[in-house]
Amino acid sequence: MQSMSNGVKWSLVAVGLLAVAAFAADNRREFRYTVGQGASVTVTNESGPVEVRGSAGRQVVIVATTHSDKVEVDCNQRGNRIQATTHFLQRSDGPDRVEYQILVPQDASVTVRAPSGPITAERMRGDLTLEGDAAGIDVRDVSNAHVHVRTISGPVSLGNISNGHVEVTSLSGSVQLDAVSGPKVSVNTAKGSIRYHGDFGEGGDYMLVNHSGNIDVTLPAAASVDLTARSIAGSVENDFPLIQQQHPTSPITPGHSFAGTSNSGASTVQLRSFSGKIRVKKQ
Amino acid sequence: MNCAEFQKALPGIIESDRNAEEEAHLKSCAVCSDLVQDLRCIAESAKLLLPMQDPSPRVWAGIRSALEREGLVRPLAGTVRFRPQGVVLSPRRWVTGGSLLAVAALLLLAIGITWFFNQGTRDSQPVATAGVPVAIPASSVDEDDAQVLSAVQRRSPALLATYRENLDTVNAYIRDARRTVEQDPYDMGARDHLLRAYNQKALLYEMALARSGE
Repeated sequence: MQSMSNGVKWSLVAVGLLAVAAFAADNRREFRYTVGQGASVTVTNESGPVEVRGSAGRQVVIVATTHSDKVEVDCNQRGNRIQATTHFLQRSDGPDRVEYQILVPQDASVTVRAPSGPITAERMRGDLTLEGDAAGIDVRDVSNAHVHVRTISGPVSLGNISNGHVEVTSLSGSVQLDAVSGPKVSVNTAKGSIRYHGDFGEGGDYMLVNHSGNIDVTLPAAASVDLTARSIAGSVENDFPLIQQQHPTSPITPGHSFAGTSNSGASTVQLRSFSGKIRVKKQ
Repeated sequence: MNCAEFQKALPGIIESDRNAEEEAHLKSCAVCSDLVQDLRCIAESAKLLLPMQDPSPRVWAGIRSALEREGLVRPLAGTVRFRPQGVVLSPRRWVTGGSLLAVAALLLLAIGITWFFNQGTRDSQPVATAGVPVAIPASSVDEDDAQVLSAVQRRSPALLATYRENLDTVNAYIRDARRTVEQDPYDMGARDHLLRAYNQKALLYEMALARSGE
């Protein structure tokens, strides 16, 4: 009985020490920099999430939380350029992830590379370049900006983006666009499905292309589009009232392609799939 | 000289001086002029991929045979070491695995671009007609794919399955698009898919390189 009691005691001590060690390894660091207009912020995080948020003022605030003493964060400022990078002091199978929360002036241009992510960015007016392998990427409330997103398998979600130059490329990640408009919106995937929900703005060039995923578009009756859809080896379905073009730019093959205009046809919308299904629906 | 003839002689044109006829065509044809400029740009970009070390001769042989299969370079008699013209490499400082993959990615894109333009200028050459089976070149980059996967495995083993699966995906995309273009070289939609497929593969290589840290 006595030895069992000692065993329990030692176990408790060991657990306590482990907890202290774990707590000690959790290291929250904060970096603050003042920048001018048109600053650029680059974050490279091998493992863990990165959250970027635009804020008023001219400060860049980077909060990095590590969970291991085998990893560290380097932040530096060179002129109007801020760089934050995760460094591995020693490779391990442990909790090497680092979490970044970043506030930037809204007009800053931001580049994030985070293979595992997820990556989120919101309330920005500066250019965004976001790249993750398996990372999910979520971008909200952005205006007047270039938004470049690239993933291998990570899903991409863009919402409430106006007057954007948007370019999304993913191999197998799905891409969801809600209320995304701009002079130029281009989405390319291989296997990933593409969903667009919105009105395509008041004049822009939209190109949604994939190989084998589906393309689903839902738009309101008031949308002003000049729309063409073609799936070479897949099928197309249209549930949206379009006026047939008298001289379509390419021949229409029933079941595989359609084209038409609604209202004044202010925005050009091209939907192209190789073998996926394309569906256009009225909202 | 028309575009097809010019592009047939393209490897020689890139590697050495142009004759008067080729020069004249280059001045009069924006498409070929752009193509030459793109290939030069690719070669210039490859110079930036330092530091470099000597790769395995097997790798260059693989790239050479891939280019030969595509008809972009002429087969050579005997054993001649191939290296991309314009990439200035000292004998002891060739490419590492990572920079080699970058070169491979750029070459891949170049192959795609050149193949694309050759398809569009085949008026004087026999082309496949719909329904007639055509010989599709074997994958030209199997060895490069293997190196990409190897690089990912070294640095980010957890992502290996993701990259392998997506290489299969993009290779299927290239095969499908290429088959369709071969059946109908004037199908602009299929040609657009083919270029996009090559671009996607180049993106995958680029991201694998970034992940591998090489």
